[in-house]
Amino acid sequence: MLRTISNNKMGVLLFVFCMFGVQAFANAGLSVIANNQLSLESLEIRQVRGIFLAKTNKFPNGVFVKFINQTEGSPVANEFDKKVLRKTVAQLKSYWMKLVYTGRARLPGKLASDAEVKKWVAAAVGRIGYIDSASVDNTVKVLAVIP
Amino acid sequence: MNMTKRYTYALVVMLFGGMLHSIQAQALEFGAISNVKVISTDAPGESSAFAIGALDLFATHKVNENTVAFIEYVFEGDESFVLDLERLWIKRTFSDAFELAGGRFHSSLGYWNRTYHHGAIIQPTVSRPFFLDFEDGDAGILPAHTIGFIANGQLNDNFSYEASIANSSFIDSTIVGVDKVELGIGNASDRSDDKSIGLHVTYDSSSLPMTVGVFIMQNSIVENATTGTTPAFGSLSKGGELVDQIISGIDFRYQHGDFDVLAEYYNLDNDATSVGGKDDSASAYFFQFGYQATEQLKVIYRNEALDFEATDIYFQLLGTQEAEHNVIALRYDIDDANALTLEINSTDFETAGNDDFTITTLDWSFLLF
Repeated sequence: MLRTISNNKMGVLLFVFCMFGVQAFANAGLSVIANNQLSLESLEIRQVRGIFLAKTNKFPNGVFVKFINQTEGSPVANEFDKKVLRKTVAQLKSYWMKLVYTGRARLPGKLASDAEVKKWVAAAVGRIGYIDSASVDNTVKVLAVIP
Repeated sequence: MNMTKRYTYALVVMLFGGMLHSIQAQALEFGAISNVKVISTDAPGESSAFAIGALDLFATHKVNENTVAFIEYVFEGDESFVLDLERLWIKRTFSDAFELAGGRFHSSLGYWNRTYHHGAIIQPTVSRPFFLDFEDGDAGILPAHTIGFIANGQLNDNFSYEASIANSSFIDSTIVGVDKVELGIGNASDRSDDKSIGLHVTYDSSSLPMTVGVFIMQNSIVENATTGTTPAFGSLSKGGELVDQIISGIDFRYQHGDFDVLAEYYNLDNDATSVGGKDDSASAYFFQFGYQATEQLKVIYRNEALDFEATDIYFQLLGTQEAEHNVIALRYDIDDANALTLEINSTDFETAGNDDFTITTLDWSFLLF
């Protein structure tokens, strides 16, 4: 019986550690990434917001920027919308519909995963996206971190 | 309203409504813009009123990665509603420097006309600058809409362009003095082989928060008199040139912190020598100053004016009056999808015999999607 209780405690402890581990993984934060060839080392969050809301079409160094979102409703996209864009899904929808109405903007593109975003960003200078910080590798450079 | 029109309107509404249920799996985005308002005026013959604005239904569809389509219908009217197809275009992106679109657009004249279209919530004030009013129903003096092709693109970090070729404009001179004359444009045909050619080049400064655009459009205004009627100018037949018009101008935008400026200047060269008139010049401008007082509240002031020679046949045909307007507006953005605007718009006519007047409007505009 003591062995059973001990095994059960171990199981519970293991389960708890796993949960914390998962939680820690999910809370790794976000990284705003760009092509490694871009001559820019960092962006302020307000600058990132300006780019992803199409208020500017250039990096601070004058290079044209193209941005990509992740699929609406994904955890990464939700976190980015909340922490960087400071808009709900509905607010973003109306924001983009107004821009599209003017004929001066296209609805932003969307990719389904961190891997797809990294691949897209790495393909050309001037591209920018966001991924879970745990997915960052040496194929892209990090311009901003959102904890 | 006859039954055919009723069925047509119902079909359009059902089409857009039905799209809402079928679009989720497709890349079709649908929206509607409208507004309601309270109007107080001392214009002769006008009364204060409650009013609904135009119902603007629009949809955009990503046909593929490089192709986008856009359609916009507007229901508008007073005693009865008229359904107008305002925009319909399809555009392919070949590169950052070259996109090509075909269909019906807003002309590449200035910034306001190409940006704010018909959506009440989109534009900063309730009213458009008066000389940018639409041709149909509002006695507009400029070809705000065009049917043809537009190429546009970003040439480098600072310069972008729009170049268009489109149908010419027309006026039915037989109704001058009988009915309201409007500048028309053919959606499915052209009255003349002469086409409208336009070019707009924009400079976006890298060092200053300002954008400057210069534009020019050559446009033929031709006779649209039907057979058996008497045109204003002798035996000029349908398709005959009334006015050879060149519109040129500049637009300017500047933003610094909470302040912004939008200004546009137009020069209209109206050559009516082909019908025994003169080659006259007219000018129009507006200057708009905005201050974002809080995140939601903006104060806007705008001055607008139109001047032309009394001998200008173009304005004689349209029955236009020289005027100056002063507009003050307070706009409160309740959220991204609805806004309240209080606007005071005073009209001062240059010509004696016309009573100046003021229109005060409280407007509630909204976006549905």
